[in-house]
Amino acid sequence: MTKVFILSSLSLVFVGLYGVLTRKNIVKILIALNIIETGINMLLVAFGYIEGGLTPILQSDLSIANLDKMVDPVPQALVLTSIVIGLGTTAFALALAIRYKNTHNSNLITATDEEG
Amino acid sequence: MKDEKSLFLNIVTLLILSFMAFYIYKVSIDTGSGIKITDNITPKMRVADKYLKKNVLDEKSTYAFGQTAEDTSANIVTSVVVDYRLFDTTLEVIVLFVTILGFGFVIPKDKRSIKKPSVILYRWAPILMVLMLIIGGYMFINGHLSPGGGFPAGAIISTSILIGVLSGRKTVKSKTLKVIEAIAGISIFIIGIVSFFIKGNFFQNFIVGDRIGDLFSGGLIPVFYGLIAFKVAAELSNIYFEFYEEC
Repeated sequence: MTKVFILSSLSLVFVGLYGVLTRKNIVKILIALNIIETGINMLLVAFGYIEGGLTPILQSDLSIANLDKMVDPVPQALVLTSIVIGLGTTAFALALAIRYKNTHNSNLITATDEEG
Repeated sequence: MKDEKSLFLNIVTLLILSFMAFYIYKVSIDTGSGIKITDNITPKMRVADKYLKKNVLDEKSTYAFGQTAEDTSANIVTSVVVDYRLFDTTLEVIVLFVTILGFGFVIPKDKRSIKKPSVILYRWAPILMVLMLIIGGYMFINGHLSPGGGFPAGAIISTSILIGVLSGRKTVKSKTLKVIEAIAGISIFIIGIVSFFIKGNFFQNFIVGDRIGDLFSGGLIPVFYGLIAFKVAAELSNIYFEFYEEC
């Protein structure tokens, strides 16, 4: 199961990297960066996963006896903060893209060459 | 090479990236000697063993359901976020604040008008908003008992305000949001200073002796999560108001 998680998150990261390397449209590049971020978050959560793991929430005396079988709560906490930071930086990058569109009249990163 | 759909460029990139991905995958599932990234057989090797066993500060403290314990909550992720790593969380809220500040500074101040909303959106918006506000409030009140917490609650509340903006109804003023954000941000640090004078450590939990699993447990954890929820909701709502200014 851990293999599946790692494989899917790595493929997400590399799909995003492919988009960043080959696309010319700024909005598409930003979407690709967000896909990379999602893949890295999944990878962090996958590192804390154990086979047949329980959620790290105490529900009864039984779950206290099974503390060893719980998944790692630390990567989940870090991912929780990283998602919010990702939202803020995406909003900032989109504002920069709007400003770029206003000055260069284009969404492509090759626009400066065409203007000369 | 200027074309976005150049076939040669795409195929070369695809080949290089797939080779890199295969190599990284082989390394990450390697079970030879040395450091193993995904070791799920011996729990003692994991980072969170000390967090799970609740002995970060005190060697002997353990979890006990329905009884008093060290200042803690039933949701261990919340314990990590708002208790052990509270410095991390507050500085992260400040990072979010700085990005929103830069967003408002960078975005051009021309008028963007929204299309007039349809009748369905206009009539359904208040119902959806009430439902989403209820779910957001439940999330940050119950954040120390169930999955959820301050950040998702803030996102949900701000999304309900976005629906209000899109449907063209007047919900809250932009100035009110800034006041809420300032009050929430300042009170987080005021509580930190108060706990410095009571307990001797910045951000130390000074309400102790609650029973794990109660609604009012965890000491300062629900208080901090509520403040964080209001701050995140106000900040994210500011983004939408900046996008649709003077509509």
